[in-house]
Amino acid sequence: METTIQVTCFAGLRKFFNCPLTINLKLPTAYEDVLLEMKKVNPEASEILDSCRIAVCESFVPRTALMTSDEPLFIIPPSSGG
Amino acid sequence: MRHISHTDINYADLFADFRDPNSGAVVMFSGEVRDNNKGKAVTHLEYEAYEPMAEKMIDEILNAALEKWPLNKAICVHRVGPIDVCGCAVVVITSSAHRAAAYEANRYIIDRVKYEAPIWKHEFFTDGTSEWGQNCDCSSPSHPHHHEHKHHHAE
Repeated sequence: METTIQVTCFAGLRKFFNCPLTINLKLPTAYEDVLLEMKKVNPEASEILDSCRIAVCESFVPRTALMTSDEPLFIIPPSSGG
Repeated sequence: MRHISHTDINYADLFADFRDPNSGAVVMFSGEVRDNNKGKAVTHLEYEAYEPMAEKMIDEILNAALEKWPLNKAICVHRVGPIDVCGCAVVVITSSAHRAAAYEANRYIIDRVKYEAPIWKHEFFTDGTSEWGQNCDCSSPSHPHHHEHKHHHAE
């Protein structure tokens, strides 16, 4: 069954997408598949997406881990605080 | 204490809170807005954060420092929103009985916050252009590799 995932982007990534973005995927699937879908939405974002991390419930998740629920995802570009 | 601030950071007041009879050393780092970067004149910066996660991560970083060194206190406050040149973007204050712990812990905290916390710098230049910053430059010889996030570089 296809599930709709809500994706929030930050900083430089926002210029490539209308956020929050919704992605439809069949679960379970790897978190990195969300990034692949985002690259299809806007191929120009491919380079920055390759350097992003993924967070769920305020914690980072490995890209290859399996996503089993429709919890919102947060795409975290490389930090530049300080 | 909140680690993300939407208003100016008053580091004099923060520093005053660190005075106590058991602290022979108080170290303060303030990250200030420079008027130039990469050969271009900077007008101002704007910082954005994924605030709930940034609060949580800075808390974890401070707790890690408190476990690693014999500190009396440690704080980190990062500004979000627009900041003019010479404004304070981030402050880290550490205190300990002797200076070594306060210095080392302070460096550890600011390095981890810069490279790990979900906070982003948007630089605005006098020529009307702007650019999102990236702290993680693994090609640089000075790149500190003790930060813990995993890199996903394109081949």
